[in-house]
Amino acid sequence: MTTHSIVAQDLTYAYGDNTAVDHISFEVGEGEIFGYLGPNGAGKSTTVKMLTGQIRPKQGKATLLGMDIVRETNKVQAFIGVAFETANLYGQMSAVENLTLFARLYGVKADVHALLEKVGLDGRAKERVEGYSKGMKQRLMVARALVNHPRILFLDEPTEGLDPVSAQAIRDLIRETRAGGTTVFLTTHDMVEADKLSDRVAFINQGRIAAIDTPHRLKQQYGKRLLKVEVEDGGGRLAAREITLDASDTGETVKRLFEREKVVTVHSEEATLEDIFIQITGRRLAG
Amino acid sequence: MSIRRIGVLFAKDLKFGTRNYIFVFAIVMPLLVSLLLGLMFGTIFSEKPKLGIVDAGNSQLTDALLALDFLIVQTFPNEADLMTALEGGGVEVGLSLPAAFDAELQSGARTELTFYVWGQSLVKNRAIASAAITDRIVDLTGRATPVTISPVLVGDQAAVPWQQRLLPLVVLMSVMLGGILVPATSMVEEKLKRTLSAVTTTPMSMREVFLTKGMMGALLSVFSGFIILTLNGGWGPNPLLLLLVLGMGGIAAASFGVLLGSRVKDVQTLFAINKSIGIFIYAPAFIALFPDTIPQWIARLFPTYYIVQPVLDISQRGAGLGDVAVDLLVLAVITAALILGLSAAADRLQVQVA
Ligand SMILES: Nc1ncnc2c1ncn2[C@@H]1O[C@H](COP(=O)(O)OP(=O)(O)OP(=O)(O)O)[C@@H](O)[C@H]1O
Ligand SMILES: [Mg+2]
Repeated sequence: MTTHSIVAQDLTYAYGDNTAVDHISFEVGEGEIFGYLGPNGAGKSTTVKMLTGQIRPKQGKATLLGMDIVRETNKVQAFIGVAFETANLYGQMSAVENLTLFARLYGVKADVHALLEKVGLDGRAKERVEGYSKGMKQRLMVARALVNHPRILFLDEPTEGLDPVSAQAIRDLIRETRAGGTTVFLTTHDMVEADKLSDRVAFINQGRIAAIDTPHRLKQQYGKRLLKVEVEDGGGRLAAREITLDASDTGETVKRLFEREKVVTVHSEEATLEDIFIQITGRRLAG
Repeated sequence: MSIRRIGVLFAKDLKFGTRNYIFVFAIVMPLLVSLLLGLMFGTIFSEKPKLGIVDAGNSQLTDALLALDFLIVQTFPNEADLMTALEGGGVEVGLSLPAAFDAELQSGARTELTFYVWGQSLVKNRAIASAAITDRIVDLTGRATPVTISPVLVGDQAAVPWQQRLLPLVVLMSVMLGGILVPATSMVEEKLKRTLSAVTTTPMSMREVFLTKGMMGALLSVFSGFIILTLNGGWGPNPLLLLLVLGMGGIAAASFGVLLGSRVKDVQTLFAINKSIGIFIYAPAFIALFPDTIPQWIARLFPTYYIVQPVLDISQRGAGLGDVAVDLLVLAVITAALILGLSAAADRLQVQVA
């Protein structure tokens, strides 16, 4: 990747003595979906806040679209969209009014109704937002983040707490947005989602990046590929066997198994991102 | 700074923030108090001056004064009756014209005229009556200021009428209540609901947000002061100067309100703080209630004195820019200090809202 939408160098932030983000560096290419994965309290949201100009890094710097976020905060902010972790909408206003207000703040024209349709809120567009469910608010947050046609879209756990259909709609919207050339910085602890959506992922743990690569290469590098085999013994009972695929004697082992035992089923299994995360950090993801 | 963004947020606040009970309270409260005081003591500002005249020789001056509609003029058969009326407050100011008054006036023999003043009369009414008399004399003689009017106080001089004592309170309330509370609650709410971080993550800066909220407070303050002065007929002879003071007062109040709102965590704390600083804000009005027991210079120690005093000076005593310049300068310095504090608070809050 020659052009980088985001370049983070040694980004560091501490709340008092608690170092939430600890000298993090990474690059996100233009038009890339970058999955930012980590357990609760890993420092994901703190990173997003630094990158979007909400808090100032204690150390290090971040460059977005070639501009320094601290020195040119307002300029950068014209080109980014942010869906926050916690809903921060105007409750006494309708969805339409919320989106229109933000479009005006950006000074852009936005097809508010088309956006609401994309997040499945077009039926209730004129209701006051304080009457919305948590998931509806979340979807409206994503719509609001898109109101200025951002070149970089930050999503802090956009599908958290959404029903499967709504979550899928948001994922489709993320893909569609990227197809339009927008870079997506996606924070999540849903490993399956990250795997499906992200071009590259970063594992963050205790404020540091533990690994960063494409999901595919991470699996190649860290995951054991397995053959899971079910065999039946003389008494008709089933037993499971596992064969590592990438060992030097794999072929020999498979051959022996088929010769000596009665094989019922065989399937190959790839490691999940979750397995790899646990392997690398020694921690589980889900909080 | 973007005027467009400030306008957009301002329009939002105007449309949705005004449904807020604080907003309504800030407008209605001074009106209620002014209405109540009006019922108890008569209209605070607007009562017409009551002039009593003893005229021994059918002076043209009496006819000219009787023709004026902004004075209530009553004639008395003799000085003793006039004095009784003055001591009881039946009339506020009095003139005794000798039989030869007109002749003396024309010949230039008369250069002085005694003007009796009831000790408790409104200062404004004294000023209006004395100006009216001077003007009429100028008309009659065709000469500029031929006669000096020397006031003589009649009756209980020390007592200041209650209308006069309560005026600072009503003025302060109308200027400060909305001016401080509306921007302060609006700031606190935007922080609590986190909409502030949503707004400042667009190209809008914290300074622009502060300016928007401050503008709302200042305009509300001026509007409220405007209504109170208009309802009570208190604009006096210098309405533009008065508007300037209201504007400066509104900016000071709103700056303080935004500063307060940017520091306070929630609405309850805001009201608790507002209650305790209320003493500080209304101190000049409180001191003015007891002119005999509290030395009046103490009021000068409180910042709001420099709003309320010029307002009263202009509306009640017809003061001009020169008379209130020093007070306004102090007010400007206080406001500048508040704005400096605000810009520091904006920078701090900008990186903390998240
Ligand atoms: N406003 C704050 N004040 C003090 N400490 C904070 C604040 N926000 C976050 N922290 C601390 O910083 C660390 C990182 O928090 P952060 O919110 O970035 O984590 P996260 O990865 O987004 O977690 P989650 O998955 O729960 O959203 C945590 O230890 C948290 O306690
Ligand atoms: Mg988070």
